[in-house]
Amino acid sequence: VSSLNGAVRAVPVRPGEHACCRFADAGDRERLAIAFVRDGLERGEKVMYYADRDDVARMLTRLEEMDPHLEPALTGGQLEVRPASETYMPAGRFDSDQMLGVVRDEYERALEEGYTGLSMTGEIPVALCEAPGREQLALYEARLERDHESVPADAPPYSILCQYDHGRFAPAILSDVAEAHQVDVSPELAPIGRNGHLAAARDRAHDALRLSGELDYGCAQTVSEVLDAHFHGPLRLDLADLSYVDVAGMRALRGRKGQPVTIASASEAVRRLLELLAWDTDPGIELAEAG
Amino acid sequence: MSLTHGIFIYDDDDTMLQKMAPFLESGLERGEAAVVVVARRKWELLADALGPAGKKVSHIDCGAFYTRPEDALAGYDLVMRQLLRDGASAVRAFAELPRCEAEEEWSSWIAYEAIVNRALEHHPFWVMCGYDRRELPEALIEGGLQTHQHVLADGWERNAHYRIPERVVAYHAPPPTPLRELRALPVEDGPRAFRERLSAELSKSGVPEYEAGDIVVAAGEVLANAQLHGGERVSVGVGCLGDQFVCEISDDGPGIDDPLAGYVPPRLGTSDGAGLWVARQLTRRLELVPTPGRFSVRLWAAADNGA
Repeated sequence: VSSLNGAVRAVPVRPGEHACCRFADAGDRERLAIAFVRDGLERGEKVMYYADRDDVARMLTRLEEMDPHLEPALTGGQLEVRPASETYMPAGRFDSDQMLGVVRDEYERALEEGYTGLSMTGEIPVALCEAPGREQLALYEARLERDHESVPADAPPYSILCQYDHGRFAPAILSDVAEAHQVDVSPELAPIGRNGHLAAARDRAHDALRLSGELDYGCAQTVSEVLDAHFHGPLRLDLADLSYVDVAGMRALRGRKGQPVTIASASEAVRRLLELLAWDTDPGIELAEAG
Repeated sequence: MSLTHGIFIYDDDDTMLQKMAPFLESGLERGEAAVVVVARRKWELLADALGPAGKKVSHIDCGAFYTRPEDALAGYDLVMRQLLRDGASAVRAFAELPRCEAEEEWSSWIAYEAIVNRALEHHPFWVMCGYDRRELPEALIEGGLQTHQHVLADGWERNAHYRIPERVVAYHAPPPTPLRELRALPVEDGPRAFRERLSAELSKSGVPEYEAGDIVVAAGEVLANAQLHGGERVSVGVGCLGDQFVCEISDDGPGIDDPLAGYVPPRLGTSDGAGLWVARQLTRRLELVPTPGRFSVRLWAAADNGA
């Protein structure tokens, strides 16, 4: 199912979603982006990566270092890496019409080239913080979200992961930007992703915390700490993409205080453990029906 | 109200009907739920004797219910939790173990009867275990007398033969299977890498996929116990003994000296000991093996390796 060297796919973004990642640490963003790229490649989609580096060749080397499996996709053209600044700010300024055009064109091109869909991730250039047109960013993301929602359900998916450096963009811009995404991989969730086989995101559309990958006693403590620090009151969880969970992991989801939780969606692994732990009849746990 | 676990020994159908039909009826009259876990023939006799009240009694076939002690314990716990959630104030049951031929089989059911006293003690559950002399070996009936706090003769009586469950279970626990040397699996690089290694070993040994998945989860729980609560030096060995795959997880800590460990279902609001419960539920055979200086848990699976 998966291979060693930590290359487990823990991607809290599902096909066809518009997500933003707001981690402050470049390494954290990169780890998530690589998982997103691999996920798209494995689904047979075209994958575009817009890297905010002066030297795209160095970015290619970096990608191959992080995941040697990406090399054939790069050679074969399934994965393309482009400089972000030239794409987002072609004449030194950001223009939302122009950028929306890029996304639409790439989607069409992916389908013309015979791919099953498009996965696109961009490191929003840090230079954009100061560039003319920067006030259009939130507007652009909102229009992209609307565009995205209008894609028919049976059309090939296009998934977008927008990467924002939390330390560089103004808080007001970031909060508008986050609101324009269905899925928000918000800064406080970064520690959860650091062991490489678990990832978390806020599903804004369903007001749920989503966990994907494998939640075991090795990372349970981190999850528990993040929940205690940042999630107060009733918690709504989307655990449909949790392929593995153990007792310590399940316990962590209730935090230190054993708070009530709603499990909006559960994978087979989660469902089985809930039954074994008798949590399926626990009044503190609301479990949405299967299917 | 908590558990009342009684034994009713009889040798003809009429006696069974005379005692059990009123037992269930009086529970129904008090608004309690009623469950009967017996073979079809006896259920038909009882349903007939109960008349219209029989429609309010749930029947579970004992052959399908008593597959193995771990499943029966989980089964009763689930039935209780569901009936209570659905509004029952208490539950009465008349239940009979399946017929068993081999000594190791009845030995495990004697241990099961002992465990019931602890595993279900918090439930408002009045369970009457029928022991039919026509069907059960004498040794099993003797075991039954040691494992029920109450006995039904002319009326209800405290059972003088009752022994504390831990002793009964320890006495009936089968000795650990002698093992040759196992191959060591590293565990230092975290649970995720360990699961990958174990999966590869299970697949190499021809353990069917569904069982392999369960063993990986079970071994994960046992390893978590060892690494979080056990000694400093944790080690894992795997190998095959004939057509059986075994994974042994050891540490140099004090180990577990409770013979009931992992047999007691997790209760609301607590999850102590839940890891071993999960491991037992998912493993066809789980052995606790204390040796001088080390404590091991062994998980067994069927291997289709041509042996």
